[in-house]
Amino acid sequence: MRNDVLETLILALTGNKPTNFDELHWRDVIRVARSADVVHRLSHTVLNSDFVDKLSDKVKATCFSYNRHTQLFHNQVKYEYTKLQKDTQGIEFGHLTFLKGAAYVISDSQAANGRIFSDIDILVDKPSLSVVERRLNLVGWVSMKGTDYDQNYYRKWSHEIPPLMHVQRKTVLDVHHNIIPPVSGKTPNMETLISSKVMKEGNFSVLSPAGMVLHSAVHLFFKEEFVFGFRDLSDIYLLVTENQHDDEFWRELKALSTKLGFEREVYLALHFLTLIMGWVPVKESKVLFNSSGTGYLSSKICDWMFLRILRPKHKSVRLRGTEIAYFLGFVRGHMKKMSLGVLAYHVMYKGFSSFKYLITGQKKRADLLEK
Amino acid sequence: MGLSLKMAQVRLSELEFDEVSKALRKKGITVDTGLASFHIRTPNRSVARSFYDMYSNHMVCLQDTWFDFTISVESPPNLRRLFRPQALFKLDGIPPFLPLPKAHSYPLLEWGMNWCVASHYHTYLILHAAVLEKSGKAVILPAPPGSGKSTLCTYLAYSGWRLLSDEMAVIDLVTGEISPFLRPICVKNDAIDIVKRWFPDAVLTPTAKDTQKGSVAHIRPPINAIQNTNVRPRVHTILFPSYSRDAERTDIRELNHAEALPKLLENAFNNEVLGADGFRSLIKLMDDASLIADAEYANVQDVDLFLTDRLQEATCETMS
Repeated sequence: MRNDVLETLILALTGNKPTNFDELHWRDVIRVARSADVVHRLSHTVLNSDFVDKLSDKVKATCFSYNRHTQLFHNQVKYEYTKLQKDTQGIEFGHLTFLKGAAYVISDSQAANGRIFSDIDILVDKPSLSVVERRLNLVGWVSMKGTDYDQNYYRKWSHEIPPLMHVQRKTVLDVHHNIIPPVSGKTPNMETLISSKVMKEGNFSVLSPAGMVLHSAVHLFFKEEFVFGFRDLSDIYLLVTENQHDDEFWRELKALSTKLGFEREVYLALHFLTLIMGWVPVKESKVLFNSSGTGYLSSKICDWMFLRILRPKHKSVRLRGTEIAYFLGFVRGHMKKMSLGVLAYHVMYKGFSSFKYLITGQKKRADLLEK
Repeated sequence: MGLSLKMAQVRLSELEFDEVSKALRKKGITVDTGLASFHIRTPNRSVARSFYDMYSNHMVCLQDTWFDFTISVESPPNLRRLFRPQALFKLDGIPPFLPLPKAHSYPLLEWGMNWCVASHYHTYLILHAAVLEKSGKAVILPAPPGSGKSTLCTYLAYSGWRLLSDEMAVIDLVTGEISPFLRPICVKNDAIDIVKRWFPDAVLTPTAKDTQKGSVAHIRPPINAIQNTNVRPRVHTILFPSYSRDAERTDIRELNHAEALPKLLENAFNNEVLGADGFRSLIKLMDDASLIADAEYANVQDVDLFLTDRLQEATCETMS
């Protein structure tokens, strides 16, 4: 299970001091980080660490370059944030809450460090959705082309409208009205989640740290694709360690996860923070999230599966059985998300698409670039 | 990032093709392009052949050594390969873009290498431009596709100028120095035959037809370009070339900064990434340049003579 390259990567990402500073070792650390989408975060922590001088010039030059790239993403988010404020003036809406990467940047969280993203996620209350969408259309945000099937799927089953792209700036905006798709039959009350929001300028907001952890955990354990699972886990690590000495944070996390019915997802997030990122649980977390709520066997299977899924996917660090674990995760994610009838239809359609790809090699660009 | 792959480097031409082809299939080969080093693997023998021809003057390393990117060109895992095969470019085992027809495998490798630098090297200002040097002074030729930039670049590279890059001018944000990014020159359509006529001894890859850019072929850079990669010249001239078949004579017109800036921006790869720093470095680039001009040219010799004259004048001035 031990892997020197992964060990160095995790030590660096969690703010600890690695033991190996060899240039070729770090070359491999950078490769694994790049494939897991954490190379910007690695660069940020390395350049701000006390061991940066032990690294070779080539390693440092690589980190400088990625760090500059992070700056672009963050500048862009801050710009869009201000622009959206101007653009939504004069319309009435319940709330507009920034989520995930964009929210980390706006709230100056540790989780913003070296965090890049391909789109900006916002959560709008469902009654305000159409008025917000119409206004966004008016100021240059247009629906990205999708097939009729995709458009229909989003409108009917999804927790967000199809992604919008700004015609001039090419920024992509994901507008959600829930954090998980209603198709799952489990529609958590968003009023409860945003009751913990932190207000920003105007009537824009971000979730509280506990809300962010909950959302990130749900995002990680309530889906069927895990391309950036390791990156998401490292987000949660930073969110948790930033707030872990605040009792209120734990009480709020417990209350939110109970009310919304996501105790298991939060438990899993904390469990794998320990197993993968080497996090040491604090007293409150042990008291409040002490049980997996499943039997011995299913928790063993769950460990086996997620220890593979949540590792970087680079072939130099992957464990035996990773493909099987991804398949199990795919089935598990879909089963959580959809009723059997919808699942059968969706799998049939997607299965047909994959079959078409297998034969013709023609694949939608969106599938390939999906992040 | 950088130049000094000191460990056990050899010139590619000193190796046998079979050895190179086998290494590309198995452990991979690391090639030094000046700015960045690439660890390359491919099971495709014709890609190996073109690589061997194009990089024969380059320094490579077969052992485990530092590299900036690990890339491959391979077949995507689908049954289509049985009747209409494709080629897939990967960085770190992940394909950043869609596959191309297998016949475009070699151009795909070259374009993939450009993409690696353009989307990861943000401590440099990167312009879509050819760069050549004479007597320590650099000429930057920024131009959109179809302007005849690469044809002009090939002529100059084989007529006494030292090639630094055909595709990208890579300019240090702090020092303003230009790094060599030494790669084969990519010529398109009619230019392929023209170049073959001008320089019968130049080595070209087989022509890949019907690519996004039309027919393309790559040309091996001359050996003098690879021998002096540690010389990092500063800009002397920025010339925006545009070939005109109908022009009766070559027309060169000096530009002021206000006229030149939008043309530079149009050819900047990563300007929005760099933000204010990128803008400042564009201004600095124009300040550093002794000459900024538009060149609508009828033949490449005129441009060569003009540029050589201006560089000589500058050299005489400094000496007197």
